[in-house]
Amino acid sequence: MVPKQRHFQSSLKLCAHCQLEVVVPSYLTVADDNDQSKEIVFCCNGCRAVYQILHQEGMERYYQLKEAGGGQAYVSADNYLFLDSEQFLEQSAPLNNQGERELSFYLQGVHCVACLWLIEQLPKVDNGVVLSQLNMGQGVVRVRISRDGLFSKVATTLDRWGYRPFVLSSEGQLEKLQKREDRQDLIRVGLAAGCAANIMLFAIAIYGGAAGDLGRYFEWLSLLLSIPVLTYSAAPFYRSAWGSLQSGTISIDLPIAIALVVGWISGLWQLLSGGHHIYFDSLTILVFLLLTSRLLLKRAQQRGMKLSLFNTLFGGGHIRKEGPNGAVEEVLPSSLLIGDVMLVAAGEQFAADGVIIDGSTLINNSMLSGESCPVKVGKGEMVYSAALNLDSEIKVKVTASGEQTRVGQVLQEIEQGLNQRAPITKAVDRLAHYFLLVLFSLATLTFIFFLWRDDLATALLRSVTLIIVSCPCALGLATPLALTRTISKLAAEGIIVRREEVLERTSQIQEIFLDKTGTITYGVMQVVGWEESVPSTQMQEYYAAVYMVAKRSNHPVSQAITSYLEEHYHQWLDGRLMVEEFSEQPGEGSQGRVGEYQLAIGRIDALSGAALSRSGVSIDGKMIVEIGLTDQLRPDSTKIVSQLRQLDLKIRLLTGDNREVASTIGQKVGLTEDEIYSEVGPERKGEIVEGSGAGLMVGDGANDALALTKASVGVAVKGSVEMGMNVCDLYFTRDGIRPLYRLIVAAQETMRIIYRNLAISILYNLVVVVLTLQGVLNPLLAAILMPISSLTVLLSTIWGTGKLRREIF
Amino acid sequence: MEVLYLLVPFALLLGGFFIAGFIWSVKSGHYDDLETPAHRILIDEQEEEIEND
Repeated sequence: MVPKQRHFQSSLKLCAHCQLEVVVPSYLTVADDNDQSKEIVFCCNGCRAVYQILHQEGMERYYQLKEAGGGQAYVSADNYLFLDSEQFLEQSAPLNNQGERELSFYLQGVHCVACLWLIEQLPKVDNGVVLSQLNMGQGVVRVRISRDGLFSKVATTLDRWGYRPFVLSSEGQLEKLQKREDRQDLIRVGLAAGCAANIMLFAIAIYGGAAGDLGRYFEWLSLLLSIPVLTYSAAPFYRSAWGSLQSGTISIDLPIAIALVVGWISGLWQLLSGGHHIYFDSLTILVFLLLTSRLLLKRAQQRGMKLSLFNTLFGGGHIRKEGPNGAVEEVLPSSLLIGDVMLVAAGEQFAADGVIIDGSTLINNSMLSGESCPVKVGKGEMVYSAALNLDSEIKVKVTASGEQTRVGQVLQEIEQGLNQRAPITKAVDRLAHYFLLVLFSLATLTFIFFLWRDDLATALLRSVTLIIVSCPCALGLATPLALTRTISKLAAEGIIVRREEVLERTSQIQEIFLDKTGTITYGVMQVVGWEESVPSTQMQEYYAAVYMVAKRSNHPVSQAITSYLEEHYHQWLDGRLMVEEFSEQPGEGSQGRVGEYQLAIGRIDALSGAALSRSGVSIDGKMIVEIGLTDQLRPDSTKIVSQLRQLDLKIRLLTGDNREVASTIGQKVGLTEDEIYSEVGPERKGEIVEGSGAGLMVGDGANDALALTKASVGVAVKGSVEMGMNVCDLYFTRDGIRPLYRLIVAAQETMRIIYRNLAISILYNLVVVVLTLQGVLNPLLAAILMPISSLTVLLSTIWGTGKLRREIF
Repeated sequence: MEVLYLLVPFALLLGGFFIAGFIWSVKSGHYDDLETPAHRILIDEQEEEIEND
């Protein structure tokens, strides 16, 4: 009877196939075939599959192995049968001319090339599938099936491969519009590029001395080519300028629009009156450059588009409804009505609010209350949408569905809050505002002055030269470029910035609020102590039995035990054992018989709120192992907190958990007592964050949603609930707070680059305005100087952000 | 140099042809997903290698 204690620390390993970082312990840890003593880990089943294919024999072998190796399907095939119902198909995937149907799924867990390969093998595995096309950026697969195909079969296959499929309702109106706009943007740029390049050819000929009839001919052709650019391509500038005029503000697009219109009209006038001060070349090039930089900016932001798809996802699940005659049918949550009876199995999420009419269970209400401990509920008690049923199947009578649910109302409130949030004037906008006011006054004064002193031609010439030469390129071009380059780099690092202004706000924050559960900790129970009270030789016989019983249950404790065993005692497990007489008592534990062993898994002490909870496993009434469980700190949290301290930022920990738990975790990451706020509910969290002014809140789940909107910058971390993302400015696609330091440094550095550009730009503008007013500059020189000044700020931006990339990432 | 009066419009016509081609390719969705095809083309080779083994 030698008590054996094992502790282990979490750490990061690289996926054996795609080299992505994976937090171990991970359930995708296996022994290397070549060297059994070595363990390798994968980021996803796709990687694992391709790894095995490459290292063993053929593709067929892989599927045989997978079937034999436990074949643990995540969700049973029954759950996708609603995809085949006539009603669903007619509504979401109508037959096309070829007699085929098409449906899109959002897949959870698409990481790398291996996933792409595996998913696009669908037609080979399933004869009914005609086409399977994955968009990696969005994680959306488009599946087309023939008459023989079944979407339920497709979904089940994807599920078993480890990519949980969510049905996307057929391309919504919003997505369609978005797509059309994207294409139109691209056409605008292409058209501007084509025309501007040709105009440049004529311009070079004219500057080079083409005069007389030929020169005139080229000038007329320039005019002709400038028309599509100035009308179609430049349309967004006019629209935005008009919009800003209507709302009584001055936007960057206003001088651009005015310069374009006035420049073009005066060019036309020159052409008709026989003058030669024509600069369609500089106008079109300006349009092309501006459109290009905006397109790049938009592209960089659209990497975050995946998020908006989650809106569509909410209606994508399916639930089981009991009809009046007792028949059970599968329906979409949106079709639930008040008074309907739904069946919710263990491991499922409640799709609506309701009263339990049959059964009792444990539920996890963390999405609403932030409380991580499971709550016991029984007949007659309320359950709320988005809570997770942990223990056993119950029947619920629906009292509210959709937006009427508690979660739905919270969401609505948050959306309203988003709209009401005071618009933060960007530093650039403020400067641009003054710049433009000065510019317009100057141009008007110039026009009046020269009209009075000379003639209309000179007056137009001078004022247009002024507008062209002083075009605020640092504002119109370099600022978005700096933001784009930083945003796209951040996106590649797993940090998705939803709006560019967020970067500016991020650079100004002084205080950081960290949520505990799921942010600096994993948010799931993990085994940290394992004390065996029987000799290890005997214990080896028990592992498989314990594993099978634990695996049958969805309770967090059982799940923690399952992954612990998979990690440490992989060689003793046997997926073929049968569990008999399995039963679960909510709040008590689970038991079952495996062979001759009668097993029970349960709590030893139910000290709620203790940082460490203890459970035990007994066989035939005799305790064989005592298990300590806790929500473990992420391995990198401590390091990141100390890095953040170097940036002179105040750091706070906000948690709904009690003092004891909060202190234990807080001290581990190096926080002092007065930096820890424990036992704070969602509303209090919001108040604290709002009171700070320039605060950045990192959190997950609905219980943080309010605080995330109140914060100057709200950051959602992965592993978090979808709704968190809809209210956040920033989203980390990788677990934990690791990207936080990079984010803040990058934001500060980018703002520095922008300010430097503005300084260069102001200096340049001062000089050229003086020169223009003195009559030294004509439009030709202006058209040459302007691109040179643009180039200077662009180079400064590229050099600056390039340096940022090398030094921080 | 008079020939330019004829050649330049021809050149522009050719240019217009390419712009039209570009617009067609955008509208038919060639640029909708710029990420995945770049990966996809790599895998096809991998797959062939396996099949040849």
